[in-house]
Amino acid sequence: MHRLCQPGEHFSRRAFMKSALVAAGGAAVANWGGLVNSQAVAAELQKTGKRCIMIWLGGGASQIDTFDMKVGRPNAGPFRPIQTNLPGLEICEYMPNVAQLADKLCVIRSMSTGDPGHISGTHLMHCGRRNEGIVEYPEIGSVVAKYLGRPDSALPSFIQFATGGQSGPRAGSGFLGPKYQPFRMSTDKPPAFTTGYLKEDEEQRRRDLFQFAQGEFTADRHAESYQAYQEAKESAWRLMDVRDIFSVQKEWPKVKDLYGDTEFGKRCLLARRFVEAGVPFVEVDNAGGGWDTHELNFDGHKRLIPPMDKGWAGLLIDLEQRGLLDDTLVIWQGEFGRTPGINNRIGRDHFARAWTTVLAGGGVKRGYVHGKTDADGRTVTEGLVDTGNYFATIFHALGIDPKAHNYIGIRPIPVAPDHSKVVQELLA
Amino acid sequence: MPKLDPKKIERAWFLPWNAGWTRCVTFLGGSERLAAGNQQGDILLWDLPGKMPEAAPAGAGKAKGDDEFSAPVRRPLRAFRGHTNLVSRLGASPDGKWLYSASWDHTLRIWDTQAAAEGTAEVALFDQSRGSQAKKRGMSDADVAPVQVEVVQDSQVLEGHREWIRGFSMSADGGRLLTGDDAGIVILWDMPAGKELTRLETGGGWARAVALSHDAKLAFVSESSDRHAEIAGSIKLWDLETGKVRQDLTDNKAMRAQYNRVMSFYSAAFAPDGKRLALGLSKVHLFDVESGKIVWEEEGHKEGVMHVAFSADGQYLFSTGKDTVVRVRDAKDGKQVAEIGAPRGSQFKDWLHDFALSPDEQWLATADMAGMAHVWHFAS
Amino acid sequence: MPSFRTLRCTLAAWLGVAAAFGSAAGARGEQPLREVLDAELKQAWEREEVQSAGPADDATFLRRGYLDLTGAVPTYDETRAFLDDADAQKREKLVDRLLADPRYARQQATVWDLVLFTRDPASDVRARPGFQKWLTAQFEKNVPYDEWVRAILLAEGNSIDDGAPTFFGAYRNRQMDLSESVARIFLGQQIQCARCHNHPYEDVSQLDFYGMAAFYERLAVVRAGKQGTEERIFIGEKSAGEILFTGPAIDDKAGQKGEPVSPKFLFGEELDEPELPQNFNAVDRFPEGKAPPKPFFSRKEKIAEWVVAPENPYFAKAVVNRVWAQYMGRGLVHPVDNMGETSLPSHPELLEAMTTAFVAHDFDLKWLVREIVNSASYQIGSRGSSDRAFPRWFERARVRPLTAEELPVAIRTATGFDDAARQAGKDPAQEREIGNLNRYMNVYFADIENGVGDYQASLFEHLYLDNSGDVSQIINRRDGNLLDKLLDEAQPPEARVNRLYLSVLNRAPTEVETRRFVEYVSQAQDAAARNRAWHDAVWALLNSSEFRFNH
Repeated sequence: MHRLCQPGEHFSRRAFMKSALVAAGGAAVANWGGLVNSQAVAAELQKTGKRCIMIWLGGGASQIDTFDMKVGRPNAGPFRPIQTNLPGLEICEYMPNVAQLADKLCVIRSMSTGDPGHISGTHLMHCGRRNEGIVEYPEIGSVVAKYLGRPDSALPSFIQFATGGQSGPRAGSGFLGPKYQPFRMSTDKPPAFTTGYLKEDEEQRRRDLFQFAQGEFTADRHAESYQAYQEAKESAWRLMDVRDIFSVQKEWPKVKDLYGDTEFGKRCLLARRFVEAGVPFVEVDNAGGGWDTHELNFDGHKRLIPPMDKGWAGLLIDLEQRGLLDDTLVIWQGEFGRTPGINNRIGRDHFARAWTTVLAGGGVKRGYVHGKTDADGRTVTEGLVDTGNYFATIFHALGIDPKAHNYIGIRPIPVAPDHSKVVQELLA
Repeated sequence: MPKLDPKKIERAWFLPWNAGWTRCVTFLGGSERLAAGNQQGDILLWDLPGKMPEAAPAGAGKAKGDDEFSAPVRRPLRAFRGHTNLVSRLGASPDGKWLYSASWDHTLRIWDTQAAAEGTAEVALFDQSRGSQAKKRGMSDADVAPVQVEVVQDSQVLEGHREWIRGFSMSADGGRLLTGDDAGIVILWDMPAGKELTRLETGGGWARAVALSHDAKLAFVSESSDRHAEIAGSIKLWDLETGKVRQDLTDNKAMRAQYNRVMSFYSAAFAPDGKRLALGLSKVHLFDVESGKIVWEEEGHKEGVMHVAFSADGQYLFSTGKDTVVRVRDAKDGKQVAEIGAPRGSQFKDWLHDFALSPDEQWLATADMAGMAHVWHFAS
Repeated sequence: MPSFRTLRCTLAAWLGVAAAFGSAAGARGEQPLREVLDAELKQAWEREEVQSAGPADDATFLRRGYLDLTGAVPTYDETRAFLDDADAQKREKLVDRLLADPRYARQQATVWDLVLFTRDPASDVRARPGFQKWLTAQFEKNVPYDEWVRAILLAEGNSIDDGAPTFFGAYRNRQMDLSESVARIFLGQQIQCARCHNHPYEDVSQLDFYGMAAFYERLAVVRAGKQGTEERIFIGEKSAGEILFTGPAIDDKAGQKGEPVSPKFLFGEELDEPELPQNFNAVDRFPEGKAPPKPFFSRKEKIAEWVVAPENPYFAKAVVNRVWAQYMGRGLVHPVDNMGETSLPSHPELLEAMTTAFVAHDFDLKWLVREIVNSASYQIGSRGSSDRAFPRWFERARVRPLTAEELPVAIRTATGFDDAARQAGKDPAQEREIGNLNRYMNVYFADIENGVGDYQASLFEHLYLDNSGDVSQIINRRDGNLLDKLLDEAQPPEARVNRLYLSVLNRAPTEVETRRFVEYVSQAQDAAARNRAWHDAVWALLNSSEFRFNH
């Protein structure tokens, strides 16, 4: 008997007000470090050089006002379609740049994920499944970091722009442990305090002394908080060696017309710099929950779409020109879409039954539209893609076996949810 | 002309229209014809008796309080068809012959309200739920049935805009119309000729709220900014004779404190003497044009002031918005003197987007996005 | 007084079960609560086959107790005195001393202030010294919990002079949010989901939400000027006005009118209220600047009485669970503000016994805290193989990071910064170094947990600690501070390492540690290098997990 919804639905206001790095939730005893079954397999994967950038539309963008327009229907709204460079595909008039790149896109109009809550939906669309019992699943960035990250990399293997807002907090690395936690950035500025005050050898000596003191204390104390704290300290040290990558001032004047002179544009540029430097997963938050247009959906989307269109298109063009697009999968998604119906605040609400995500680049078909919804966009009528199959397909496209196991104790946990299948039609 | 007394208000007519949201209203010439537009691009015309109904409708007594069913229903006569997207604002020539409409289809249209009809069409007045409510309140099946209206085509399409037209303001004599669109294009028109007179060189933000002084010499333009669109917002006064900015009010400290860079006003209106300017967004603000200072500001429309207008003598400021109420304030100090209508009381309320005062200021019409217009009478 | 006889059947059944099992709790009668705690935890360890960590040593207990009861770490002298004390009763005596320390009241007030207001930077009552002063006084006088909560819920007087109205003041024009917060904070019940939708299996819940919200619908915040940055506010209550309910938000239609909803106690009965007389002139707006008049009938008073009533099945249980979690890491129901039907306690009998005893002790918080910290359960060791910050069966001490308030104070205490400043005739709090530390700790160390208490490690925390130089400035040598004493060449390095550990970590170093640190400082060839080396030694300990966490 439930009187109220589960706490996760409405919980932890503070956590999403201000995001910091989330420690493993402490739900399961995981054997960090020993998770890759075969070191050889991992080494092989790490050589493939696959990368992934996720453009996150926090709050949930409206599919009907972008990629699945319902021309002439009462719920169509005031946006009008334009022709793309892919015959037969029309998209919203406010995406002229992406329209010229439609031949590189793999549009999935038949997402059916079923979770219309911000927090739970954000979790679901990052982890591919709900937490159950004691298992806290890692988000996709952490999984990719684990399989595709280079252990010797000075940059974190998972960089995440997460500016909070209405979208829920990110799950973090879950049972994969602190090593695969996202490195969070909230603006396009270099992180603060990345200039030290000691000479190199002094710095090294001090670090060694810290490691000793830390080691003495934690020798017989194992709380994961200590481990997370120490891992973060070590990551901070490594980061110092490569901090120049965060400074975009020099490059920006040359590319700002390509990406659009916006904060989001700069983040897209940073994402390209990161993947170019070998970071396997970057999540770029677009508008920090601003897509949650329960009120004035059309004003909201009309403001949000143009800079998104420009930044996303700029990123795809830049990756292509640098020969990175074949190995870089660019995901465009939020936690859900928005209702086909328009409410009495001229808004659209949460909708997870029939919505759209878009993939582009590494491993997926180009110039392809998958699935259909009915006349008003209320249900999927063709090619339904559920959460499990969606994630299995993404992992597969990245060269990660969706059926590969991680272990919690002796319990095997596959990378993608049990029984999920790769959607072959989406693959290149 | 009897003096306007906004405190003595009574509900006169109920104009149901089941086709999306009613967005805008205007009286045509006098107080006996009314037009309203909706988000589907349709415009309807009603005639009104110009006096209060003889008797309350059968169901009026069954109401717990005052609501739309307390007034008799009026049925539309004509439909003006041509727009292909939302009709945002309406206006009319002083003689009522010409109707002007602004739309999100990027066009302005001029309609000859007396033109011969080019056909007929069926218009639904009630949806199922309000229809059954209407019947519970004493109406018959025939009362709630769809009606036939005459269809009229536009006589002129003005194509100077490139984006949704939302800013719309007319001079006192009706000879000038100022319109603004979301590409920042602001145009002064000679009406009813439909001739473009001046085009203002703005910064390209949404010119959602524009106001024309009564003598058509001064224009106010609010260009919206947005932290995502990265266009700096501004509020400026333009001299229409030179086409140049006369005064930039953007750096008004009080406004900055409230809105930061997002000067995205919904509504604006000049007082008849041109010395005061009313602006609506989260609150209603009254500006002194000369000094650029805020004279007063008041909350009250659930942070959404969709329309503001002064009475002809400048004594009162009317405003409406997200709370389904028209508020009448003393323009001097902002004190509310009357409240017209009642908050609808859902967690998320419907909005009123627009209202119109009849030229004799004895009648008020409101555009209710719940799919209707209401007509009120000021008793003298 | 409304009754609670309409309790949900599941809850009633659950209470029945607890009563049957836990006649133990009743029969225990006069048994000190601390012994009940210990017995209950032990029983669970046996049942769950969990190995307990055994008792904490004196040094561990000392630092934990100081942090939990005063928000500060002990000084070098306090550490020495306690560790050297041979009195078998010294732990209980320390607890008594700390409970009587003025810092106890301040610390509890800080904890509760954050529970009530969070760190919300956009809050209407961001500046609330009046409230904080008032709340501190409640703890100084050890006012029973139900009394000060009643004062908050009655919100009489004004925010600056009387404190209590500030809580409602944070919810100006957000009465529904207020009723959610009252239910969550004081009753441990999450009702907000029912604002927009019923649970699929219960069709009463939306009315439960609106019924509670109806108690607060008539409240208004009345502003009456400012004093410094703090706004003086009164809470007015209108005599009329109803909350309107239109059904699930998703079904909201244009043109829909709401139905008024009567006040209804959470999962209980409707409020019995008198009709407003026909001729009563109900004001719908209170003029600013003066105290509003009383309403014809006060719903606010009724709900306040109902919330804090000893018979309320949620109120005492919620606070007992919250205080337990404050000292023991996780709640018996976890997280503490979600005590709905589906969240079962880990130790139901213990929760019942504590609740009963707490009510019997007239909601005496200090008594409750004293029982908890004197228990062997609280004084458990911090070693063990469990990876969890908050062990489920409390078989090892919980690990929590120092808060953004505690950390700068701990750094100042450990480095002798405050002592040195005072010695130089200065107010330590006014020193420039402290300003920076406080400011940045608030930026980088304030949101160190994810809302349920799990620590969130952050690279930024380390970038700040490593590179800002702010911590280094605090460590820098000043007459009489720790570094000054460590550079005293008259003392052998071993003694100085001993002082270092006692000052920063409140324990003596092991032999291995002494050897390593002596070796480290002995490599320095000149005065500058020696200064650097000892400085690094302080820094290394300040940066260790042992210092960063309360364990």
